[in-house]
Amino acid sequence: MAAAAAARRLSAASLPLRHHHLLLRPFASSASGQPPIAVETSVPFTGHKIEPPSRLVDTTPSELLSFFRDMSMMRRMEIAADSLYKSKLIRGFCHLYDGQEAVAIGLEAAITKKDAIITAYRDHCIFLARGGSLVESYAELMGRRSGCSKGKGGSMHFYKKDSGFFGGHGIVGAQVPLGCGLAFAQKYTKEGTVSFALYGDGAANQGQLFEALNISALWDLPVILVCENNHYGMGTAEWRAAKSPAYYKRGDYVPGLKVDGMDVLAVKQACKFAKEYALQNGPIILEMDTYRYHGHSMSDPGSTYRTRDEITGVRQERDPIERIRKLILSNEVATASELKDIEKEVRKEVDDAIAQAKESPMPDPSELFTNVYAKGLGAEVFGADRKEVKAVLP
Amino acid sequence: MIHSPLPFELIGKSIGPHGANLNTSYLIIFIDAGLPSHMLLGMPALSPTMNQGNIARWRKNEGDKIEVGDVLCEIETDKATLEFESLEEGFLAKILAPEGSKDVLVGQPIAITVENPDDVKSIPADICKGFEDKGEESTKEWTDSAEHKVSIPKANFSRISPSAKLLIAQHGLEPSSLWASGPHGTLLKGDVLAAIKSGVQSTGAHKSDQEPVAASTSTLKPTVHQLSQSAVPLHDTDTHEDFPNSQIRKVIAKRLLESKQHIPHLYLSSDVILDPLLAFRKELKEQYNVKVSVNDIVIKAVALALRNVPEVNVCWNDEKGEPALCDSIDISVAVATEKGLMTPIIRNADQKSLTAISLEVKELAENARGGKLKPDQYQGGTFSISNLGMFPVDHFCAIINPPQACILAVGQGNKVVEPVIGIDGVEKPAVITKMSLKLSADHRIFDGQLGSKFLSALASNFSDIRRLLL
Repeated sequence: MAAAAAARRLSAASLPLRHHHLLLRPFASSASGQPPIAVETSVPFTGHKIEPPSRLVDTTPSELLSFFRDMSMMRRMEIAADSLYKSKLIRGFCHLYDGQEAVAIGLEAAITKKDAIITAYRDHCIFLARGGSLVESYAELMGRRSGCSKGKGGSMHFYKKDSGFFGGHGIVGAQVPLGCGLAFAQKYTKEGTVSFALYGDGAANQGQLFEALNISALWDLPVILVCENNHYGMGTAEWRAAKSPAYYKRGDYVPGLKVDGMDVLAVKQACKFAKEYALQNGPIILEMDTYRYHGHSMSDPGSTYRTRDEITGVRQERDPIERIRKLILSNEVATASELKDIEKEVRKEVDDAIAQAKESPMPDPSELFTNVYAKGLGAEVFGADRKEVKAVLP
Repeated sequence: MIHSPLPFELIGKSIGPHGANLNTSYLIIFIDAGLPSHMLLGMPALSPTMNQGNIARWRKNEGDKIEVGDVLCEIETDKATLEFESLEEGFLAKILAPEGSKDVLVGQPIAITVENPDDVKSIPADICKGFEDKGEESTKEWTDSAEHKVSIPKANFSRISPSAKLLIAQHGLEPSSLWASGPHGTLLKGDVLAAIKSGVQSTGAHKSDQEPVAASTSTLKPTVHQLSQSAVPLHDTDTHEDFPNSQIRKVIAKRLLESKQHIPHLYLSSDVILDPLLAFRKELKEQYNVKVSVNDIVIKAVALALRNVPEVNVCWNDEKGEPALCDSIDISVAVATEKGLMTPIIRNADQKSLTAISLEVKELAENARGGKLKPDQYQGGTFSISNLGMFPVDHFCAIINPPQACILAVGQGNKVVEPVIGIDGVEKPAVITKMSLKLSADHRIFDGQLGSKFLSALASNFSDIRRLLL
């Protein structure tokens, strides 16, 4: 028993750590000789017009460790972004995702890079999960040239098209019809992939959502609508915003599943289940019951519409990283000090990335005019008197 | 930097394209040989527009454990008091900006946290000095450069003569700033006098100026030179003549200036229909051979109005800073003389008859032109009337004679066409004579309401001339 545990620990410690590919693909248990661990999710799934999947989730030690590492990375990244914002290095909007990491990681664990994800403006961690690097993220947040959107997008417009991440959208609920469109394209090309359209509990009441859902259901598009329910739409509690806060039931004719969004394994199970369902039958709604520790954005202290006790309560009871830590320790996948080391490494990585991102310069002023029109359009720019041509846009 | 840069340091000082300091962070992590691993917390920008804040209250004390999400302190920004949450775990080792610290700039260190509770003691008390020194250095540079500009002359005397000593003491000068020209470096009376003449300030050695010092501030000497230089061309040309001011004019000028500057003037204008008055005057002249001028009747009308509205008959008591009601109604009448504008007084004008007023005015005017007015004839008075009706002046604003409260400016009567309600009740255009009255009142005593009350009483006196009998 001890030897097996030691073997597990050794293999855990020798996991490769790369800067660019932060997420480790969960190994199939048979390939690496790691026995699968069966974990029960915190709460059973609740289904609407569908039989919910099993509560028992299979995972491996390396997967658990990768979950821990990646979630710590995301948590650290968001906290460091908070400090950078407070030092006025990041300006403008900054919506932080700490507390909700389990949704990003669990989702990523269930799908491939060919599946598409589209989300709203709380997108830093989804970008990271899709394979984005820390340097790119921080550079983009600080508006530097080496950012993922050339420094022109900022916090709300991260993209990584090659990994199937379609952003990063500012208008509330606008990304859902786009997500349905992505699914339409996927069905058209018969790729056997799905699209995940993420939105919040505030956006759940938007009209275009239901319009898009209707046509997706009619055409059986492989789209999965994921409601990240952190219970506050900016400062409005969900019970004040929605007559029916059971967002997974809001699809009516579209089946839904309610998931504990703070449990990575539950999220992973639900997303796997949803992908299988969507490829066969069309849209499905997932409601992730999650929580954000920060306010809505950096201008929001987050304590005017909810008590600090509530926040600390969630931190103590439901924190996703703590849950994985307990799982790892109870299954003897690693020791507490090893986990602490991983956290220290992660911290160092984040700090290095920030330092590197700071070196990057601001974009050239000529970049104001690029990416506005189709390439080669050659649009002419006039001055205010509309008499002489000032410039020709690329 | 006080510590050598190490991997955990987040501070870098590279400058961005427009000279903006792009890279200072408010969170610095140090690992130094001398001190344990600690984290320096600076004042955070809790809102995008915040530049500085005050520490309202510390919620944690030195040595307390800090959990993620715990409130460290309350920071007062220009908009609101916000709570500063901690995002790291640790122990509060040192508070650098205590409660009540005002105007702490964003980025300035406010606290130090450590990971281990034992390290709390190892943070020395003078850790903040490193940051203060940097701040002091920069301010020192500035003051040094400022001082270089002003050269302090060295004292070069060995002794001070007794009379010079007395002068120095009298004028409160700095002896070290004076230049000695006497034998054996003695500071003479003449030197001190020269220094005084050249405008040496009695306090502060920096501003002293004497002939040897090149960087001299303004002195009287150059201005004197200027005057003498400019005086010469005056005599050469005959383009103008200087009228030296008579004593009277000087006093008048001074008092007028004082009045205009110190009294808040309130101006109330009213046009009165002069026809009843003119008709009355004509009647008196034709039937009773009594000659009274319009001005006399005006004086009487004003005096009676003052009796009806006694709050207007006040004087401003400068010492007490409040108005004082006057017992009698004494009207100062403005008389133009060669020497200047005189205002002889008609005492108890309300009690005198029209003819009496008329006679008195004539007498006083004569005396005024002859310069034979006695002091009690022009000193005092509670109300002034200035009448320019005999000139082509429609209306004008007069300046109050302190300590009086108001002055009435009377213009000339003009014939105008106005709708008049006739005896039969029908409105018809009619030719009437209108005279402009402008009351300049002291706004400290008067407000619009009081002034209007007086003017309405006056206007009714003019409209119904029989009221003069009251």
